[in-house]
Amino acid sequence: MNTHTRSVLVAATLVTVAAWFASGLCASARGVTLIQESNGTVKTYSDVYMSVVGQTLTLRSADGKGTMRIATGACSFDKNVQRCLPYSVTLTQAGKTHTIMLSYGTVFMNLTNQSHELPRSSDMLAPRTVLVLFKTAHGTYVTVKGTLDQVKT
Amino acid sequence: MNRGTRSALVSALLVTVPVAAFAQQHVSGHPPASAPVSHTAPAPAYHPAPAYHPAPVPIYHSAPAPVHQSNPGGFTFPSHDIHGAPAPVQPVPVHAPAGYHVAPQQTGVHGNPPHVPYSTGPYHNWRGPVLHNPHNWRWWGWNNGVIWYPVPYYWGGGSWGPWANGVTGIPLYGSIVDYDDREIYPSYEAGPSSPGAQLLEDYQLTQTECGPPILVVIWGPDNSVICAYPNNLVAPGNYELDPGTLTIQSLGAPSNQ
Repeated sequence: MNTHTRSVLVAATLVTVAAWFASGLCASARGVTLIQESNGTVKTYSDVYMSVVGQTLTLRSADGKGTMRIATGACSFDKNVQRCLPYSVTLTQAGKTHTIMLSYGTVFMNLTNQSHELPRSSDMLAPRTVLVLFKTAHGTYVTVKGTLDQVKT
Repeated sequence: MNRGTRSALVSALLVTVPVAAFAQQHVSGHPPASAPVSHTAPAPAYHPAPAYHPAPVPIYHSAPAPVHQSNPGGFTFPSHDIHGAPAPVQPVPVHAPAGYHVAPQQTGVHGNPPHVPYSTGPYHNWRGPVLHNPHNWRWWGWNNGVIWYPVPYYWGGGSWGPWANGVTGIPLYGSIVDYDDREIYPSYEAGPSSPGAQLLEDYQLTQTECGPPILVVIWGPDNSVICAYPNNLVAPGNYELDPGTLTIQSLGAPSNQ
């Protein structure tokens, strides 16, 4: 195998690896938040910055204008996936902080470096990924999923 | 062009052609046309079609399609979800109750002897025998060694499942009436995968509605209570839950006995 052939193969390999990264890892580097109102309107927020500090999950919108904080507790483990209950949700926007009254919800966190199955589901939770589902007292559904940008326990 | 280069180009072409074909298929939305295959089938027998009277077509009124918006800026909640009065900026911090034991791998927190600091129903004198959990969990072993603590807002601090306080729709599972203090303690079904569900599984208990006599009555955090049928491991009576080891302790005998 001469130098030219080797360089062609190396280039092909690099293209393949780049495509794999683009399709998988980079796409999950940031979170997606869906807010579905009771009238069916769905708002999708992509590129959401997500961090866990202690028992609080913080979500910051891509434009930096909105910050949602979800305080969790009563965390128990189902195998390697941590399941917590959200008990306080606040939204800070335009200089004001508002409480979002909850009806119910669950926060799933996989803080390990391996994918694990969600409890009672065939779905997998990727490493350092969080899945949040909650319903507000007024019937708005909020879904959050994505890889955590920061974890500080 | 030497032989090596030629073979590399051929390999690249072999990879590129199917990819391009797939891309075309993907863009056009139609699979590539394959060569027609002729089958010599016998001519079908002809039967006149029966008279067909079509039923009136039902009129469907389709629901309006949900509106989708992407990144409309900030996080937009309906106005009724947002309270008018600004809330405290920081969420209420929740700390592990004093006295809880912590798994050995967690450093910096030192626990005292087992102690349940939360209110557990009308009884305050848990001096009866401890019924060790058959699973024999180490401290917080049932929770991967991570400390668990009750949180506000949920019934029993969340120990029995994700049942938020005051939310309608959770099926009531009986109640305990304390006639001395005129208090009623409602009970609900333990949720799957909750600490309470693990407790019931460990002691092989089957939960039932609170109220009838001769039941196992287990008091959890924040005046929560569940009931179960007694079995060969747990006799009827009142018990207190220690979430650290998922162990229950019986109520001490009354002082006049």
